[in-house]
Amino acid sequence: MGGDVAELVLGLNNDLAEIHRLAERVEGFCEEAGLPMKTVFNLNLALDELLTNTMSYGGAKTVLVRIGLAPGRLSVVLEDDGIPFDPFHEAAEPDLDLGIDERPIGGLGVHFVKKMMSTTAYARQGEHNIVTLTMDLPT
Amino acid sequence: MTIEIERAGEVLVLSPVGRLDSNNAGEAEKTILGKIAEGEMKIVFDFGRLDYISSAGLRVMLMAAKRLKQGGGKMVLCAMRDHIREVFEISGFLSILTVCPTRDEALAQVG
Repeated sequence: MGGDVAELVLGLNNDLAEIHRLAERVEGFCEEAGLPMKTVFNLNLALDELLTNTMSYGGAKTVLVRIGLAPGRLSVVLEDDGIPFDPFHEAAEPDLDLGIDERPIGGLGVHFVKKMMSTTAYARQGEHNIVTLTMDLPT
Repeated sequence: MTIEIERAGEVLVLSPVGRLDSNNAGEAEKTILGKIAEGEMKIVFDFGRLDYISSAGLRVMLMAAKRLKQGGGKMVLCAMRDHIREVFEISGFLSILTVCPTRDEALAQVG
């Protein structure tokens, strides 16, 4: 990605344990860049939620993760070979005001991603889903 | 992740240690709902050593809260670190679950 001062690229197999392997790499990458722990946590949570969906329901064999760091901004591109799925428009928004009995189980993952990241975008390119995220960094 | 289990009188204290995510939420669900099915009515979750939770973990917490409420039981969460608390906040769970700063307060609250 243009203007990036550091980049982390990692290919993942369809295995939920890979998400923890990625999280450790992301932690190291962010630590080296001097980013606060809270940023690392939020970024890893967003990645976890999207990758869990892709691996559990999307039928992807592999996912390519690219994280770029530019001044004041982190960018993420997730590319997978699963079935076409736009998480930002096809996943229902949770109703946060319901009580314990009424509150449905699940549906929070994509909500977290939208909350944690500054921008989210989806595109289908050929046989691949491309999810692009950015996170503005505290200056 | 491991879940440490302690008893304080009628209260069962469950302390998940490490990461509670999609990789182990199934296991956590089995342990926690198993305890409720065995008849535990008062549960305190001590999150003091929980490093990470994703929506898969919150799903288990909501299931436990629903089961306990249906059976007339009660659960209280405590000792959440700031980044964990924020995840509960953006889920809207802070308004439907009882959360205390310390384990002692949680034990007093649930008892």
